[in-house]
Amino acid sequence: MSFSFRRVYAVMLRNFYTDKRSTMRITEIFYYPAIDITLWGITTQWLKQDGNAHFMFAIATSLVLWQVVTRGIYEISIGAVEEIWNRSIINLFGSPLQLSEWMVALTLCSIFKIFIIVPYGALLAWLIYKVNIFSIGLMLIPYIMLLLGCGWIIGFLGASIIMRWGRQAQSTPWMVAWFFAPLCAVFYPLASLPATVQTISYCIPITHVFEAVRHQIITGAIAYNHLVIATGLMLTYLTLSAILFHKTFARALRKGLSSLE
Amino acid sequence: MNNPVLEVNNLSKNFSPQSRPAVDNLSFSLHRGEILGLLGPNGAGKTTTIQMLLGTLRPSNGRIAYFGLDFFKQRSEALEKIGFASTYANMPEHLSVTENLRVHGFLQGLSHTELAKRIDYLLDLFRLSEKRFNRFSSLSAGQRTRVLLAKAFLHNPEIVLLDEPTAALDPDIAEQIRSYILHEQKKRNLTVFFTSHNMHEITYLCDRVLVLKDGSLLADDTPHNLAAAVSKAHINLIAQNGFEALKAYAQLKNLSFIIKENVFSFSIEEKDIAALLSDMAAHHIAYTHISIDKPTLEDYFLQVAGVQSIKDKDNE
Repeated sequence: MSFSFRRVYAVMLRNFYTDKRSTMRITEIFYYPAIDITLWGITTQWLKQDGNAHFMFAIATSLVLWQVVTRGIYEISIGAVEEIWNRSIINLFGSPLQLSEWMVALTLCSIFKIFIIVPYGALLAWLIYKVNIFSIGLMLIPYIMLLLGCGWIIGFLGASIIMRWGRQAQSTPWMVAWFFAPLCAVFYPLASLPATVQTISYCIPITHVFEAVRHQIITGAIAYNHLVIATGLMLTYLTLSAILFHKTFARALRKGLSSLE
Repeated sequence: MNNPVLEVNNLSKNFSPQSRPAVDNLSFSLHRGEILGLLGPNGAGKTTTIQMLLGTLRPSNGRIAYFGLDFFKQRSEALEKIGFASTYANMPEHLSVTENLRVHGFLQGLSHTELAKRIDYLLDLFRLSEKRFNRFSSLSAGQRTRVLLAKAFLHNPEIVLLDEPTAALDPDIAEQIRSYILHEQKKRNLTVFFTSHNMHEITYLCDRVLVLKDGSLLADDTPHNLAAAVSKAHINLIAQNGFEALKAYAQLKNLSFIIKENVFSFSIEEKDIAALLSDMAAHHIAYTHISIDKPTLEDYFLQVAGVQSIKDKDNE
């Protein structure tokens, strides 16, 4: 079976059309980052201790980078939910489209949106808190790539749940996204979590990326150890989540894709 | 005969070990240029069959081959030559008619130029040109069905699978679609696999009909031969002085009958018609008008679906 980029383009076009025509989808791209960055940032400003000059910078950067993770999650799991909501999954997979092409198309859509979300988040951080997250430099690129990969992992997990339980699991993408937030030490150091939770957090690649970001902000040095662990975990989990998604899709095919609607 | 474009061997689907199979050991073939109808009462396994033929449902057993290719191994290659439309499968609601067709055209591998031409042609053919920029969600049921049909024919498929394609259409549009199918069959040897509840449509379009009941294949024959398998014909009578004498006669002879509007109809074996008419004359049963309906595909369907016996029971 040959992989077709024209079909990948078709799925991306389908998502682009939805975004273009759906005020809600366009709004959420800008709305949630704005709310998160403003709300959490102001809270942080209030809590900020004068002695810690990096505190605001670390939080603002984490807020912007967390949007990268959630975008990765939403693009994939919302992609699955949308077809079920529209009852269009039969027409989609009754075409030559392969599951791998669909997965690639959704991941590419999330990459395109990152080019909007990161500059937008950075602009908000600069306007509201006078924090320039681009001062992190080129290391921002691997951080974003790793976090986007982590978003895809959770996205495929959410999409697998949707493929398993269909319409009744439609709120999963939102739940899954926020389930991981407290465990990943996004807004606070790993050390501030209870020891038992730290063990779990240590197995999540997002934790290592945010630890590395904070380490760079505070010390100016790159935490290669965290980056290596994050890369290894991300690639392993991404492979496993893609396999899980393939398996749940195969199960959905055994029950009939129409049973999801 | 040429090689079949679709060959189905021992296809079965069992959703649960406790229940009977939804489709049981179904085998048939479809040849180039043929229009094959799939008929059966609700729950017979028609939709399950069409979903398996489309690859959106995995069979429990059996083999499907399109153009000699194993469908489970070369699904994408086969589906590039297949068009599909179902009244029950939707398209993204937010997208306009043209956007939906563009997405599906690219999924089917068409180029930008080819696609633009085909969209214009099909929207014009299905009288949707004025709706091209409307969202799918704003269309009526009939308009949606026409968009789905345009989608099915977008890439000039070699086979189209149509699941009740004219169910929501006005009679004139339905007729236009039937003419288009026949035109495509003649022009480029289009092959069609077709489910419908419209017996007139099946009789008019199909070269052959598969009849499913409880998941099993009951018959595979031409609409004419299936209708001929029903031995009972209908004798329709109009009497000037009411139906009392006819009713009494039918009860005396234990014949099943229906009174619809001002027509009294007997159901009777074709071979007994002459004897019945002379017996009625002997009993001085008067009527002003008589017509005899030969059995149709609908009679066959009703017989298969078990509806005839209910009618007879009502008349008893």
